[in-house]
Amino acid sequence: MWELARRVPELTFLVVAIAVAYAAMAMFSAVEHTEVLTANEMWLILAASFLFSTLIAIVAVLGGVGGGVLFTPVMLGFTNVDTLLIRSTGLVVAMFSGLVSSGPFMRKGLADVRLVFYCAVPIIVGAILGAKAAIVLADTMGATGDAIVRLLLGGLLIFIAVMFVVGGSKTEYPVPRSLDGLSRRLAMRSTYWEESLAKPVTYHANRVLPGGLLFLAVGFVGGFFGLGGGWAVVPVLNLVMDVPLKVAAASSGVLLAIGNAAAIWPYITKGALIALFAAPWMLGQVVGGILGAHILARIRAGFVRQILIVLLFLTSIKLVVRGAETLFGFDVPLV
Amino acid sequence: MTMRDVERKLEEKIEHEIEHVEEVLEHELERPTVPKAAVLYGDIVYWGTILGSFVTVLGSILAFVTELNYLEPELVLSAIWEGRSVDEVWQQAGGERPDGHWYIRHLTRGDGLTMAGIALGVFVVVPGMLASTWHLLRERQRLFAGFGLTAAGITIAAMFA
Repeated sequence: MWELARRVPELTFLVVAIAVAYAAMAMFSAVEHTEVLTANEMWLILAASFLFSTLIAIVAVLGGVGGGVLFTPVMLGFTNVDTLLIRSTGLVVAMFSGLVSSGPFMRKGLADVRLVFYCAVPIIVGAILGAKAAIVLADTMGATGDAIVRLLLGGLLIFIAVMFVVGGSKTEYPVPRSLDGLSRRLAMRSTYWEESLAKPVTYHANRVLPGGLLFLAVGFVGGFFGLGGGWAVVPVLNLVMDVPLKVAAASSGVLLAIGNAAAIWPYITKGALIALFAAPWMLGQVVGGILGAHILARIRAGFVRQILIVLLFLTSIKLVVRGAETLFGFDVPLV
Repeated sequence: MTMRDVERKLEEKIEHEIEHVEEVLEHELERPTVPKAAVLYGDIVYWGTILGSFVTVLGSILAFVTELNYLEPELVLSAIWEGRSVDEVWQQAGGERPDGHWYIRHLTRGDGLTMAGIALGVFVVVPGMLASTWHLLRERQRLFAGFGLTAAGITIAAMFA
């Protein structure tokens, strides 16, 4: 831990600043009690949000997904917070760990800037359309819209969890049998240094057109549900476009940050992102994102992935039940 | 085993080690240089995010320990926790739901500064993409510079849509 503090001084300064901030907020609070919450409860919610966000960021980085895929379903399933607020904050959670990891990944040459810029265009367009659709749905359909979102998201989570279970066929260094015409013309060929092999690995992105179309869909779903799209970006890059797994994982974080950065503006300008509520989640993602990236090498990522699968299944059940209860007016006990 | 056998085995082992070191050195010489466009993007986004985080921390302190806020924090948090809609949260906490970058006019207030910190963290991808695009253009990678410029353009458009 001391080694990490010495190597990444900006992280140390940030953690100290956050600790001082929360201590000051507890000791010199000017916030008054309301009928709903006491001042201490409000502080506790913010502090717990920061800690929970840090934990989510670490698990998300180790599990190879964006944080939104955990935050949004858990908050939708287990709290009363408005779905639009959860989805906008979910994008903050989905993007900030990706933003801070952009620096190390780019400097190491793991994320391919040309590949990222090519995929960024469809993912941004999809994400903005998704965010706009979410705001329209919330403004026009109210509680019914909320129930539909919970139900659809529950179904999507089951799909993602199943994808994680059966998705063991990922290829570390895929070699395309033949390149299609557009991929050959775009020549997205690159080389990176593979530390584990102590030698350079060259790859050529393939099937760039279907890949681009898939990113449009991934962007829309991520922007609409506030999930980000980490669960889908790596499989598209690795399985569809024949990008090595390590480059796919690194490029995924960078790509998500770009896509979500565009999707979040409609939420910010329409007041659907509330600063005081989102701030601890953002800070937790920055701290957890840096921590997760540094402990990645020392932990069994497979174990974290199993925890993630269980969490996704449990949350999806809760979401489907909550959505169905509101839509069809029945009550499921014990769930 | 005679002394000569031991010597021969040692020689073989040393030769093998030398071959291995030569192979590693050969690969090290092949270590690809990281494109400047990628390093530029990564550095701008990383340090911009860190800066945005410090601004957010400062804003959060201001919001909680002073009464300098656009919306009353206790009413905001209570309304959110109660499950109120976005419109109701703004109305209940004493403001109108905004249409635009409201926080820029309230940078001296806690919640305005907090929002500005988050917005700065989100915004940094734009200068990152533009700087990277500029470098791709200098390297005559016009097509990918075009993708970068398009992505930056759409993000800027989303900020003002």
